[in-house]
Amino acid sequence: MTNQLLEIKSLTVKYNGERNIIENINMSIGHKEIIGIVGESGSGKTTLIRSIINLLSSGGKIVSGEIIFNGEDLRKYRKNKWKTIRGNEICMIFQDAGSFLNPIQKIGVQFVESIQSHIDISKQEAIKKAEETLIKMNFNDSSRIMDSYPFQLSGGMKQRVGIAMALAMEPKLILADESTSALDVITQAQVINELIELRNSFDTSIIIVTHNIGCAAYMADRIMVMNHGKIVEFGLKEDVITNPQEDYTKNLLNSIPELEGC
Amino acid sequence: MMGNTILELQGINKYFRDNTGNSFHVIKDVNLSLRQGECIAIVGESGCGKSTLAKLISQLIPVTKGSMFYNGKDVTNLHGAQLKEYYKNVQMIFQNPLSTFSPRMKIGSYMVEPYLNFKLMNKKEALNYAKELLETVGLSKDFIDRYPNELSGGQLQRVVIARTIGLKPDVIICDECTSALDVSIQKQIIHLLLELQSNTKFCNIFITHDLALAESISDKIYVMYLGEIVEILRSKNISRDAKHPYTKALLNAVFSAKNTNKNIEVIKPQIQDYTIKKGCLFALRCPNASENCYREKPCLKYLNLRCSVACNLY
Repeated sequence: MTNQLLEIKSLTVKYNGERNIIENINMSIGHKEIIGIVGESGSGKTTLIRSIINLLSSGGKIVSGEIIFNGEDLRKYRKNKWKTIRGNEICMIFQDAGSFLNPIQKIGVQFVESIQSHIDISKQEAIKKAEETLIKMNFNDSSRIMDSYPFQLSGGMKQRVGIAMALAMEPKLILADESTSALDVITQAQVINELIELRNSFDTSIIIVTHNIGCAAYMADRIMVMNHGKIVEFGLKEDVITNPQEDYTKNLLNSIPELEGC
Repeated sequence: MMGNTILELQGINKYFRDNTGNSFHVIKDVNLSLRQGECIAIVGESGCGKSTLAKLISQLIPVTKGSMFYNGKDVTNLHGAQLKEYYKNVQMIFQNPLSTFSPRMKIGSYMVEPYLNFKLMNKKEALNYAKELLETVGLSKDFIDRYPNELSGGQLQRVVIARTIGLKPDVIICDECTSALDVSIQKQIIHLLLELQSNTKFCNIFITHDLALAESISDKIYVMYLGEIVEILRSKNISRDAKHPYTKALLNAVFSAKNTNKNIEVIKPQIQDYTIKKGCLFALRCPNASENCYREKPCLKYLNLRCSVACNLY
């Protein structure tokens, strides 16, 4: 299949030579598709998407398998080659955007630095681009945000800044790692709607990792349930949600508190 | 005062001052009462003052204006031994279990600390008591010799709960105590809390931004917006009873796994404006705001048994 954006073939990852953290994962994502990966902590969700962007934390190593992005095997990439696609074509939004911003630098400075390290444009143009992206993320007063320090923004705002930084490059694939779990319901809904909007307007594909099945069910086309490093269930969201095959999926669905009469 | 009211807040206000001398009115005239064995939930967005209210109730920070009654006694300005007694009766469980532990302290010494501090028992008794408590929350007593990093988040939260109930407090405040955990672990912790509550009859103040969770655990739900209580609902079926546009917006933003076609509508982002003096605080974001809303401040009105609301529409 050449029309897939990303293909993962029998991927296995280990940390420090211990047991396999993820084992024999096969998946693919098409253009303009959203995949939701759900599972408990320790199920290997984060390891999976971190291995896509080659940012496994220390000791992590891909033992076998292929990761093919746009027809090229990412495992053959060297450091310099990675620089050209990481952030430009594949980018990652982390769980806690607050901790990835530098606390003693203003948002604007960091944003401009991040844009200029990817594309060769002047500072003025970079500022303009940053402000435009912030406006898209529902910030009405983007110049005030650019002039603030991270501690002056709320958690939701920081998360939206983090997402804006990722989106400024208009990547082909976004990996969102629990990027809305720390937010309250209204901000979460805002961010999720923003991501869907992005998919519709820029044809971006998104892999969203979450433990909130409701959230995955709302935005994803396909849902993958993971447990102990293996795929438990992977299919269209309608099938997984309404007609789960595995007990694990059923238990996970039962754990979510639901509003009555909704 | 009512017979079995444990805790009562009357017109609680809190101001914070920043280093330039501006003061922010973060808790505005909050009235709240808690009866024995009752569980109330406080919901609202981040920054609405939920946690500040919890800290005021647990007396970690002083109240600026208003008074607080515990078992009929005024406890607003306690000092010394009396305050310590109050701390013993009103306990708090925090959001992130990992950060409440010292990484170099074994679970055992963490567990016995309060019983020694409050001089309830000697060390040997305390250790045995701790083992018993661990078993009540479904953990093995061998955990006593482990370090926090050897336990998972859900296990740590159980240890925290075990230590808290060991003091037999009248009030437990859970400040987002499950939001750092997985949904499956969350379910276990909620079950544990409900079970313990039915056995030991403590009151529970449950702070969360998840309305579905609040509904499933509590008897009464207080909805907070920018430091004010805007609606009080009897629990169960709140999506039918809710009247305030803010509560409706919160309900609308909850993702449902059962109903994936639910249209998630989002209201305008929050504006943290502490300078609004006139009119309804929510008017700027309210879809139904009329001109009157910017002039006239609504106060909390009793509508029926299930709902009291502060909105000009009602």
